[in-house]
Amino acid sequence: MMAVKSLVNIPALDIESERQRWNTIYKVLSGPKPDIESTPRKAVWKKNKSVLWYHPAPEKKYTTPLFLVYSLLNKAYILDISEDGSVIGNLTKQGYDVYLLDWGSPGLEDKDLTLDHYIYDYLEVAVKRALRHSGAKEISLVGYCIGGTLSAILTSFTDLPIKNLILAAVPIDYSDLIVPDKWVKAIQKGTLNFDRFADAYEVIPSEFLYAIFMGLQGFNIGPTINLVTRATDQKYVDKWRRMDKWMKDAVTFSGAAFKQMFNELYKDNKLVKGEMKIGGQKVDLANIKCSTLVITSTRDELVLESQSLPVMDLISSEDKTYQHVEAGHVSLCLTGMFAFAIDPWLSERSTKVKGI
Amino acid sequence: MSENNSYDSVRRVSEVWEKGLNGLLFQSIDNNPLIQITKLGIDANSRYIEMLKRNRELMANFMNLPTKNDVANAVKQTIQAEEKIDILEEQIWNLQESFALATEEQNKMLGEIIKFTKHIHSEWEKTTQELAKLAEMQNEFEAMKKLLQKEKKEKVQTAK
Repeated sequence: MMAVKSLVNIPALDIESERQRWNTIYKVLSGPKPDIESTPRKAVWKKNKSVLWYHPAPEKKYTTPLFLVYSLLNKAYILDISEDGSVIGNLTKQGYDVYLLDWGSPGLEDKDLTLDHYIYDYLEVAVKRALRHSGAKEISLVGYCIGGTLSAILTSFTDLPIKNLILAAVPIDYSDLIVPDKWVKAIQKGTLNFDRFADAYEVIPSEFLYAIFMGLQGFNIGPTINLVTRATDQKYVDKWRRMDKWMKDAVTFSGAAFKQMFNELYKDNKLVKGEMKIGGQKVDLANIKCSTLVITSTRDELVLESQSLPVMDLISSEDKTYQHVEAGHVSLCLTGMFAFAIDPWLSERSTKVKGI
Repeated sequence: MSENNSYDSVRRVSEVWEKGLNGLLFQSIDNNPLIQITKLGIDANSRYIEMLKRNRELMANFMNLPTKNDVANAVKQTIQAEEKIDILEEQIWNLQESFALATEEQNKMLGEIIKFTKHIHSEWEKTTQELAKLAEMQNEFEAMKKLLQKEKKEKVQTAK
């Protein structure tokens, strides 16, 4: 065997296989987007565009349910993208009852919704509803990306019985961002400001958020090349189609929340400084005393590890764990790997069903 | 991934190129003039949207047509109603819980009353039994008394 493998490897061309490959690619690119089949679920509570979904475990092993909070800037169905192999699918198979708060996509009537509303009127009420629906005495809160920031803020002041807190790819410290240094400085100094933009649009269009995500990824030809390379693998093609649908299915965002996030987090970094106010009271992450797990991923292209790490020092929990897993920001959810990453930690801290 | 896949080489080369190009892009956009242009672009776009919105509202007003804003305001009322229903539902829960608690307390009290009544009943039965015994004793005493009197009378008659 050669010590160094050549980059260029040209085997013999198989006409039939090639015909099939390009036929599939043509169908994928020109055909309609696939339907997403979720794991069995039931809507427990609805408010405005938000829905609280309940995914029961086929064989319940833990009485402590999970409450998943996804980002406000993307659609939550990435966590439940297929019945097989999704984060929720795996978690329910592991014996957890799962609740998922789907924020929905705000319309013009929601232009004044701020993070205060999202936390007090939606997240806290939804956790209360999940607790009542499950009949459990305690609940585990799992926040992903911005959902993690909101979960951490809620845990810092709520009286609700949150037993475990899991924060994955969570941006807490905004002093360092994924964008180039001069752009970070321009945002922090206020040179680059989106206030007028948010006021003019009232609700940030999904196209704008999609453009930002695309911009942050730069030259992103990887997925297309992967499709061409593995177009003969039908299972991969199906997964690729679902991922592609989710990527292009961007959400709108309330202008008021966008302004608040941009100014208080991206510009002034108030959460880490303890100056951020939600519902008139200062958010102090030191009030978090429950068992906490913080997860970051090695190839995260949207949230840097340095943005999540400071939360470990800010919280007062005696039982806190930090985990750095081999994945990307989206692939951690897409592959369903997230469920296996949290299960060993969570199973030890969840109350087991009697007789197991 | 299959070793024989003819596109593996393309994928590997593209990964190298992607990384390189992204690095180059990252460096090239890290400059102040581009930030200034972006700022100008955002401001111009915002001004344009503001103007468009103003004119749209003006035109709709002249033509007496409802705009998306009017629809949004109407929807806000529905959202408020929904919030009120939620609050009512929570209050009903609280009432239900209070009722459940009150019923539980009442049941406890009723249980105690029944227990007490049973106790009184058993005491009553005991007393009745004792009373019956006493009555029996009294009868026996009466009988004894009669016997004694009878004996006394018989002795007097024999003495005579």
